[in-house]
Amino acid sequence: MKIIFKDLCKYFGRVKAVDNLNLEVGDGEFVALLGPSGCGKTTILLMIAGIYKPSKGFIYFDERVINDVSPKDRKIGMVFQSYALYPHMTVLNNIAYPLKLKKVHRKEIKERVQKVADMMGIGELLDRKPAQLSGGQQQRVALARALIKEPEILLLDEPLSNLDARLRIMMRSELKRLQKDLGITTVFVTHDQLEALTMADKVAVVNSGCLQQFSGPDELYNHPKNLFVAGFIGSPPINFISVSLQKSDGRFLLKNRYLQIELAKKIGSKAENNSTSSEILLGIRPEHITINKKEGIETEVYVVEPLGRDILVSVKLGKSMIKVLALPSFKANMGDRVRLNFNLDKIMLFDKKSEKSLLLDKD
Amino acid sequence: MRLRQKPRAALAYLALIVPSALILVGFLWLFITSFSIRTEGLRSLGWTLSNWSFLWKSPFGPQYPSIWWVTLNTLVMSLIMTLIVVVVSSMTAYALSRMKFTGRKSFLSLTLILHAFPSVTLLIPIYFVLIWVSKIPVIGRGVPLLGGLGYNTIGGVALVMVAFQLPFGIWVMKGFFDNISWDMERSALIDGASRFRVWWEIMMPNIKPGIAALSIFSFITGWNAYLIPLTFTAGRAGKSAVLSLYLQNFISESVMTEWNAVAAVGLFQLIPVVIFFLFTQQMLLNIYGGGKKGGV
Repeated sequence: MKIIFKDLCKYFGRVKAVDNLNLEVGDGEFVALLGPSGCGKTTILLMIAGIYKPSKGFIYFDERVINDVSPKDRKIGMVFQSYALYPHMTVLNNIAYPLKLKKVHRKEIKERVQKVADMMGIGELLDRKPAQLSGGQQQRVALARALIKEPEILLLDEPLSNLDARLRIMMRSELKRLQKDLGITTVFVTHDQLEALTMADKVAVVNSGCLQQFSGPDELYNHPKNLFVAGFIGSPPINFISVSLQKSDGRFLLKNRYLQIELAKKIGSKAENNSTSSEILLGIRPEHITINKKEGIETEVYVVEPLGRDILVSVKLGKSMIKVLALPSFKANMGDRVRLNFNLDKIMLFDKKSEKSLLLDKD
Repeated sequence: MRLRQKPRAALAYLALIVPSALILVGFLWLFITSFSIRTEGLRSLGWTLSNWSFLWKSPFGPQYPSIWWVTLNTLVMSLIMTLIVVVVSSMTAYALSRMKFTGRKSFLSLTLILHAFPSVTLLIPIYFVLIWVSKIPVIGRGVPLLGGLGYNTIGGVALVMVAFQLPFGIWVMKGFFDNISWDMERSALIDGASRFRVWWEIMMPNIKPGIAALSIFSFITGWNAYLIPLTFTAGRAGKSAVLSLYLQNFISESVMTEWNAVAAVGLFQLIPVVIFFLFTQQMLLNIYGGGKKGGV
């Protein structure tokens, strides 16, 4: 089932929790709502669930406006961050509850519970109470309860945030696999970019109630639409350097006191056309900078942090700090003079005022 | 550390033991007196069971109701009151805790004001209300056991007690409901439950400690009630008398008060409450602990 948001707004008193959201989640898609805490992503999810009513705008399931449809008639399953299991019921009764409310025959309930519980690997735990289960098991119960209704839309609120690190990585792949196997349109909320990028087909980045970008993980990482997305996605985070864009003899140069970079003509002219001022921001990810001791922009090593697979070198360029990912073979001490080379295909340029990327084609 | 903690603990015990001892002496006196012919302080001047004779024959003559009838009255009144208080408070508190509606805030503050309202000032207006209710056929004064809901009936007294107890009950229950996660309720709504089912099947089982605490509290309040039964029944000789009124029979102006008998009846009234309290004091503590245990 498709979910379409049209000019969707939600106000709590004077606070705009969701501001003019337009988005389309395709049938069978796995979509992440990503954003910092309090950005309105859970509000969006609860509006899909029917717990909150939109203040303005519409939500469609396929062609049908469901603004005023009650939660139970929406054919949705939801897993809450706290799992929200019913502590006074056994696992069996927890999972069976939606069917019991639908007045499904007892025998059929039992069969279906057993089936979904086996699928989730909790078939042995049906007689226990939620308090007797581990976090991971509780989550599986919550998932089983959401899935037993055979919903057309599955909603997950921070599904992995209460699990320990190892279990989280395991559940990440399992959830992705489960979603693909069942083909249920799924929307999940997370503040963890890694979760969003690894699991989702498409990620909607939300900040202060506004949609920043809605695209595939690849696009999001390599072609962020604005400063917020660029800064929010990626770990270690992207470097921003204040530069001025100058044109001399048909060549495009990015300059500040400490560096000078020549841009390819195509990139340069695009940036010039899109920018409102020559003072712009250069964005470059730590892995797109190479570090050596012979040639390039001269800097000084501030600190070196080994990460195992590679090392994170912080260098000082003037007053600003730049993070560089280097191979573990690179040896440097604090205070060493080193030189940087930027991968010019990967640089991003942003307007300082509008914070928009200068490298996108104008719509 | 340990050296500093020990005197502190000792002080705490001292602060608890002194007032407890004072209260305990009172109970001890009650116990000794009820089995004595006469007492001098805590010393008995001869033991007897005669003070307890009210158990098998009415000490005031046949026109007075027997102690067992009075006990049944008290029990019915307390139970009815407890039942209504728990059901109404938990439904009201659920709505106040979870739903948005106009007047919610003012309703809450009004309840709080009512809780603090000196109920004595309302006795006379309520008397007229009950007299008026009495005139309604059947429910006024024609119900078996309860008598009805009007003046001089067990039901009527219970109703007034409920009214005075509700503000407290609503606030206590609201505290317990507030502590249950919204997610659980939302989850149930998505699972397809109606509001009523959410309340009954999801919320109520999870505030059992709150229900228990409020029930015990209401029951004890009903059992010990004096002023309201006194005002709204025909008096201590009537068929609607409760234990506290029965006790009053012993104290009159014309005859010397038999304090030993008073002690025995007092003890008799006390026993159920003490037994009840011993088994449930843990739950009662919940009510003042903000209902923290009411959650998961």
